[in-house]
Amino acid sequence: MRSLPLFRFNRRARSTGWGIAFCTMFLVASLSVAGGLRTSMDALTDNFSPGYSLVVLQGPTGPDYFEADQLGSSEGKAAFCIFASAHIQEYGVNATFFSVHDPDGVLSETLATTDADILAGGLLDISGVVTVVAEESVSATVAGEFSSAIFSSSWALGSEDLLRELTGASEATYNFAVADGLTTDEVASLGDAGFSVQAMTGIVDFLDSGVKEIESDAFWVLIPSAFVIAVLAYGYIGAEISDRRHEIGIMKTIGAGRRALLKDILVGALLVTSWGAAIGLALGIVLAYGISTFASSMFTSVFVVKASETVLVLSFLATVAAGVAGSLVPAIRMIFSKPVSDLKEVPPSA
Amino acid sequence: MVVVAMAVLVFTATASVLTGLRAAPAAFAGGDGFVISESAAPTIFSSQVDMDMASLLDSMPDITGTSPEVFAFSSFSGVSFVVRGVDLAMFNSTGPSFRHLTLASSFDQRMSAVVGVRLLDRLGLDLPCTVPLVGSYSSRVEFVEVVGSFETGTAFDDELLVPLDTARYLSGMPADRASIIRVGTSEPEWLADLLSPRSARFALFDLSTSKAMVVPGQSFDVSVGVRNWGAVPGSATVTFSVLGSTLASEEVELDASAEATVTVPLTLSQLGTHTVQVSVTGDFPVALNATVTVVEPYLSITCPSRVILGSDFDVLVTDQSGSPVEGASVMFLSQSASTDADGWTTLSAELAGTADVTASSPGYTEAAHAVEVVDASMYPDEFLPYVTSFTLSPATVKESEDASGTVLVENRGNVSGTFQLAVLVDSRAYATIEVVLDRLASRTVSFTVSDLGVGTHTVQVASFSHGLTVDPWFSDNPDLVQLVIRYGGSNGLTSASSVPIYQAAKISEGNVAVAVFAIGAISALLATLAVVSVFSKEVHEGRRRLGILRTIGASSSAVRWLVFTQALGSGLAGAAVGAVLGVASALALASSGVFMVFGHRLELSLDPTLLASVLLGAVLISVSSALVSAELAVRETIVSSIKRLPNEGPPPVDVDELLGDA
Repeated sequence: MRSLPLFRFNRRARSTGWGIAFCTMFLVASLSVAGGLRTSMDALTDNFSPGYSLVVLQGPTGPDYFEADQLGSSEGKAAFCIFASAHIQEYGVNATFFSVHDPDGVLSETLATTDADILAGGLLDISGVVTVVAEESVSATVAGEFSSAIFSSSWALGSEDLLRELTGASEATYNFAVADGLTTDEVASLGDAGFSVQAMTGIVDFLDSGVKEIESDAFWVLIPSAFVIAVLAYGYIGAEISDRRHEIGIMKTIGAGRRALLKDILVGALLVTSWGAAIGLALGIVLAYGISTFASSMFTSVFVVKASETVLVLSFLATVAAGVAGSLVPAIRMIFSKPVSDLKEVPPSA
Repeated sequence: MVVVAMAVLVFTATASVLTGLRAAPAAFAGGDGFVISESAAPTIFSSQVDMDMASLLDSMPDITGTSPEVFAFSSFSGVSFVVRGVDLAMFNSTGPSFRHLTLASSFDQRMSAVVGVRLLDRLGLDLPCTVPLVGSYSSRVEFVEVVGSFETGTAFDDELLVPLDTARYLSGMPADRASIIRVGTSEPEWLADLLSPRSARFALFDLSTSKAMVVPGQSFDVSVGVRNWGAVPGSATVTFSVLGSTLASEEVELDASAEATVTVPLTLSQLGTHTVQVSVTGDFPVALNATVTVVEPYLSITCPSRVILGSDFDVLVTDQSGSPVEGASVMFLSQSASTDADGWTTLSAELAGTADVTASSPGYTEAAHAVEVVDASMYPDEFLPYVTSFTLSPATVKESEDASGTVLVENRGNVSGTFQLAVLVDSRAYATIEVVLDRLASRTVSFTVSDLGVGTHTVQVASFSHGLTVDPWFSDNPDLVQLVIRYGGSNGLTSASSVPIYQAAKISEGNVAVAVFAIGAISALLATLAVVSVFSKEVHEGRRRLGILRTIGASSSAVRWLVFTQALGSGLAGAAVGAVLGVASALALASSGVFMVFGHRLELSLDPTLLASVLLGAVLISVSSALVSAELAVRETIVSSIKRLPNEGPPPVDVDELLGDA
């Protein structure tokens, strides 16, 4: 059966379309602002080099020991270290002792000492022979200072043998690694192996997580927008059905099936919401750039607003889906009503 | 009513969450109190304030607590969080206090950390536990032992507290700096104005006089530093007075944060010790004092107290200020001489015994100095140094001024030698002076005492001692003036909610307020749109009844009122239900941790203003929707309504016939 022109593009459809367009505009602008914030953050993040990655196998009380080959394909990209919190008896202070095993020259600095010699950081004021107590007690000689851009100058550098003696660590095991140039796949692979991998420049992750939070928060605007779109579509379809109930009754009477009627009603809703969504997208882009201009002058910095294709498609689909969903209630009520009751309704043109 | 309730629910929940967002910057200050940060820094993360400011502030009566803190960022197990460097003892002195602080082991100021309960929950740690932390802005690593957890009931609970030095290392902050100082004060406006005054403000510092002792009518210079610590250029009058009588005044014009030195020549005529007061007036008056003594001109003689029979000795004649006096007449027994341009002359020890060397010059009070002429053969053949006198001048100095000590040392033996003269200040070694003495010779040794702290000190040489009082430069609240001189204009006090946390968007209270208002208004408009849509549908469906009413004589205003009251009734009922459900939804969402803002959970504080705003918004939505609906109803024409009345007029289709066909 050919579809009947149940719904006409009348004044009600136009006003409903504009209401939906307003909602879609709000949706596009909100998501564009969130997208712009991501762009701003990415630009800010570019100022910081992610640098090295810290790889640890976190246990219940702290980093566990692991063997170098547990890093798999990342092994050649890592320097392997042992650290221990220890007490320096002669000075009555605690300090972190560490050793570095860097066979592939991953680190940009050479950090090594021999036997029982230790090198103290500039902030660790120790000298002479000291007794270092951790899991075991070890006597060591402070042979000088070490300088590093990565490791704290309140630490003390020891040889790998000294750290193993101090911690009781097994041969060829380490409790953290510093890796360089890990790919996304390698990070994922290490994660699957139970390792925790974190960029050693914290601001990168911090900003990224902050923007993700805001992006996810921005999607909450979908709820009020979709709700209003659904209500508008509900009101529009409800009114249209009310006006044309008599005609629908005739269609039912002459054999129109429920599916065909439902299709006709939903197509009407689809057309109106699509029309509103299309206008809303256009208005949303304009509003987004208006916000960008206004915010840039107000905040005295460039405030990027990005209305991406994804945002536009998402907004359009969300609008149409909400509109069709809102139309379902009166539509279903209509198709299940009795034709007798429908026919009792007088058409507006009568 | 259901639609109205749902619309208001959405509006209320949105408004509540947005209001919580407004408080996001305050999370970095713990929610309450005030924050001092560097005025030029766009965010508190890049702010650097001097640690000394915290101790200066602590000494002020209106400051209830200070906590210098350093921000760093780290991530662990995929969770990014704020690392806050604190001094745990000071952390609790202002702002939120620990509801509980549980330590599984002792807190080491180098390597320990405590974690907020909410972050502990997110990280899933079992305490105690060693956690790796990474650098904030460059590749660094530090391991801390998380020895305990704490709860404050504020955004701090989403953070990791570490020692200040640990956070400094992670963030690259210099050793004597902090990101912010959280400060508690009973006078926030006073402190804000003190740190960053909006008008020109002047302070005085480094007062000095060119002469400490002068004769009547002698000119001396008084210098003082002036600094404008206000935000705009301005001028001030610096007044120089003695005993309330103004001797000179100088107008100074300075740009913001600029400083200059003002020097004026003064003369005093009355004998005695005078206090020269230098002051600026205005909102923040400052007065500094310096002491100048006016004396009659007199001569001083410097020469050995003991000389060997048959030898010559030198005599120096100076005036009261230590300047050499040329042409002074010097007498010793039967000898008479005149000083040269440098104030020196030479005499001979011709007779054993003690006699005075006298000096006289027109206009000066005469001076005398006893000299003992001894026979060397009467003294032992050894080196016997003795300290015979010690003077310290002046007895009172200002902070950063020096005092001069003069010691007369004699060798009472026939053998020359060297000895170490020890100067003690407050019984501690201050200086050691090597003194070389010929046989039976004496020598005047001078030294300077400087950099002593404010207070009374004892300066001791051999068995002689003198008190030395060091006064502060600023007799009235010296710490305050020092605070202003050092930090005024370069640091600002902001309320916690005004803290700028993000440079690109400059999210602070004002900006967030604008955004929140805009989104809240749009949310309200959308809710109104939804409610109007439903009401208009209801009106449309009831147009026949309205048409009858109009036909039987109901006026437009009567129809308008009828629809308005019905719409308002159901609207308000729906709004009440929606507001309650909306607040409950917002609270549930916030407490679930769904919303996180820069490492902190979004906090909702249901203050009366928020609730009132939400209720007002809900009522406005209902009223405006009802008004629009009533207007729509009135526009329904009588004729069109009547035409559509059921069972009136010819039906277009014979229903029974149609049903029969079907």
